[in-house]
Amino acid sequence: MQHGRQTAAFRRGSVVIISLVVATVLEYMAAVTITQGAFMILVVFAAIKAWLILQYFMHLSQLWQIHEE
Amino acid sequence: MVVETIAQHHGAAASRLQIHRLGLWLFILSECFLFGAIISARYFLAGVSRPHELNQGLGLAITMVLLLSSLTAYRSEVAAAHGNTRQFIRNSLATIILGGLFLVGVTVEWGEAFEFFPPQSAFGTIFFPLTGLHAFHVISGLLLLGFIAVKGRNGKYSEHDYWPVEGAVKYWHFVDIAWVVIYPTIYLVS
Repeated sequence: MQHGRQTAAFRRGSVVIISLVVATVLEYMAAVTITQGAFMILVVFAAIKAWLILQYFMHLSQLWQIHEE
Repeated sequence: MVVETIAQHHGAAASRLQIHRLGLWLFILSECFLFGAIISARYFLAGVSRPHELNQGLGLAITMVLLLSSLTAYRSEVAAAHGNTRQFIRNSLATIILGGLFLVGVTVEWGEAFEFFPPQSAFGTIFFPLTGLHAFHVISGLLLLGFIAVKGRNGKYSEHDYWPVEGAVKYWHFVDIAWVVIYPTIYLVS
């Protein structure tokens, strides 16, 4: 049971990191190919990546789960 | 009576953990203001222009390395939370190696930067403090990770008591988030 939960968490981490890598590659491609309005696209990519890390790696929602510890 | 005492102890430990977490998040928030000030200075001093000499390949490579280190740091925390010391140590060491690799990349980039956009230039005025401040945070994160790795090796943490691991890993993730914003600010915006 414990091992299963750890494996599931590891798998979730792998999915998040793949999403982050893909987002970074897309961000880079957008920056080198798009000449107009790239700034806003970069802001959106940075926000998505930061949210993924905050939500899945830093467990931001733990702050509101006082009684579930 | 015994059950009540245990419940009170558990409640006190849980609220202490919650206070630790809140304190760390407030610290991270204060760090956001620090990085935010320097990042906004980039747009004030250099606008959205960037030198063509910036090593884009190296920038992308060190970004990937730091992102990967976030995965190993996450796995390290998960392993500690499940009492898996072997995985915890292995992933902590992997994070330290990746963080070290990132610093090597930054050092190489600084060598090139001194040649093409020295600290006296408008872009250099931003490049060096921003990457330097971030590198300082990486170094302090590496020290924290090294500390918990040594403590963990001596069996100091269990699945019920691993706050130092959680705190150090959260700090490392913050360093990663800071780079998520710094990378486009330095390398991509134009």
